[in-house]
Amino acid sequence: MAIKLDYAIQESVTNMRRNLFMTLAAVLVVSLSLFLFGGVFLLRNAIARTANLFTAQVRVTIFLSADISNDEREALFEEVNAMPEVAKAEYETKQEAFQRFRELFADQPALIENTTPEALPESFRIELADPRTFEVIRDRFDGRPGVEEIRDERETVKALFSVADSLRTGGLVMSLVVGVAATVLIATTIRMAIYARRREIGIMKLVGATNWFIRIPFMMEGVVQGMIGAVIAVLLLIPAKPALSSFGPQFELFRFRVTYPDVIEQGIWLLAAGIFVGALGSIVGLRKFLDV
Amino acid sequence: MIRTVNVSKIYKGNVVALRDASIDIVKGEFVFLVGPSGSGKSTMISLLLREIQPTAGDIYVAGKNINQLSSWKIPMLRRNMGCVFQDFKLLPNKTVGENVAFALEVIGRPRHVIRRQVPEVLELVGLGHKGDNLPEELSGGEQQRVSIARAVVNRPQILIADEPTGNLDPATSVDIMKLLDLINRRGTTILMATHDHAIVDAMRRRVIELDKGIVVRDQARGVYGYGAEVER
Repeated sequence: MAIKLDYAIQESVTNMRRNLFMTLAAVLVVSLSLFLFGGVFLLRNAIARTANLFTAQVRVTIFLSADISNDEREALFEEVNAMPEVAKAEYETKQEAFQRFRELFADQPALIENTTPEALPESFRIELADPRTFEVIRDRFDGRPGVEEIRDERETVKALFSVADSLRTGGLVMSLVVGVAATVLIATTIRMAIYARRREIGIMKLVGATNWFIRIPFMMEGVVQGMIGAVIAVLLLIPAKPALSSFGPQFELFRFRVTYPDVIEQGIWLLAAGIFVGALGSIVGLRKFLDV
Repeated sequence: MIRTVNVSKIYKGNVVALRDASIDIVKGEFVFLVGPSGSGKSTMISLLLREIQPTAGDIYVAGKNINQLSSWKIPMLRRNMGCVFQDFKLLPNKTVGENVAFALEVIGRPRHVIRRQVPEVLELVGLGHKGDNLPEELSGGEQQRVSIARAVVNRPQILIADEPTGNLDPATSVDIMKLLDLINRRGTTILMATHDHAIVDAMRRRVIELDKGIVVRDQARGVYGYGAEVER
């Protein structure tokens, strides 16, 4: 009897530990996959937001040549203002340009000293009704007499949007792969838990327990694993937030703004995803077992 | 109560377990299902519990064709049938009382019903004082009594017993048979698969004999073998 008891205790301890490790593994894989998922999407959202902010601020600038006459300039300015695509246009004199130049390079006095207002071009600074319509200005005014150069930040914005897009795609693919791994792992832990309790389940079926009655505790196990994984992922994302923000270039205008409301919103999604993965894993794990 | 009509079961690889087996058991009967190993007894029991489906033929339990039962109704079928097995199938980490209560818990019986019925049924099987023992602290005969208690605690109309005395010595087997006889007298229909000659010969109940999947004998007040056949 003593041997039997020892054996029983040892067996159950081994069993529990094996299940504990499997459970831990499943939880960790869930949290890893959701952390990746969450991090990538926070970054992607931040970049998209930066791109949007930036786009809203984008101006098209028409620099005027030095030899432009007053009549030419006024005619051009009127034409710009008359365009429906233009929300607002401002004329910037050489003096105003110099003012801005001084502010921009306040920390480089040598540069300011060596520059005179005369050296800087006059310009029209144009805000567009729809920031996406850069082309219109360029198409219309490029090469016109009195126009020196037309500058827009199209390339920068395009690059930002393309980074955001590839992050979203890459993040989705990556999360999908790790998510499948998490589901399979949860299914495996559930299957092991069922295996450990197969006698009990056999008896439950025999005395007429419904499949749902048998299924629900295991599904809860899977859902709890998914939920714990999601909570860990969110807890990891909170300290990771400053790191994500510092990912971007260090200019104020370009900074990736990862905000805590973002993290919270993402957290809710992650929790939902965790529960989904847990439930899916347990359904997969249970499917074969309850056929009888 | 239990009726099979030309039931055949052919497993993979053309293994014939049952062929055109028709039996008809009415309410309140006590029937032995006998035959050598591999004669189809276990297949018949699995079919009645709908653990498996027949290849051909129909099976009726309590008037319902159980082959046409949708899978979610199977638990309801089983709540009407108690089961007892050679290996008792008790949960080793639960006490005797908990093992019996388990059968009621998993079908959602309320707690006050469980508290009343478990001691009652333990008393019936003669284990009123052993409710708090673990199965391993009991003898084989006592364990089988627990399993019988669990099978009948829900008061099923039918009790199916698959070699219930297979692991027990002859004296203990006689006690178990007395208990089954008592349960039968209370109105429960019993179908018992066995190859225990002594018991079948002593009980003198209806005997259905299977051989190679075919019903070769169906005899009221029968004995185990042909040789010892007596007047009806």
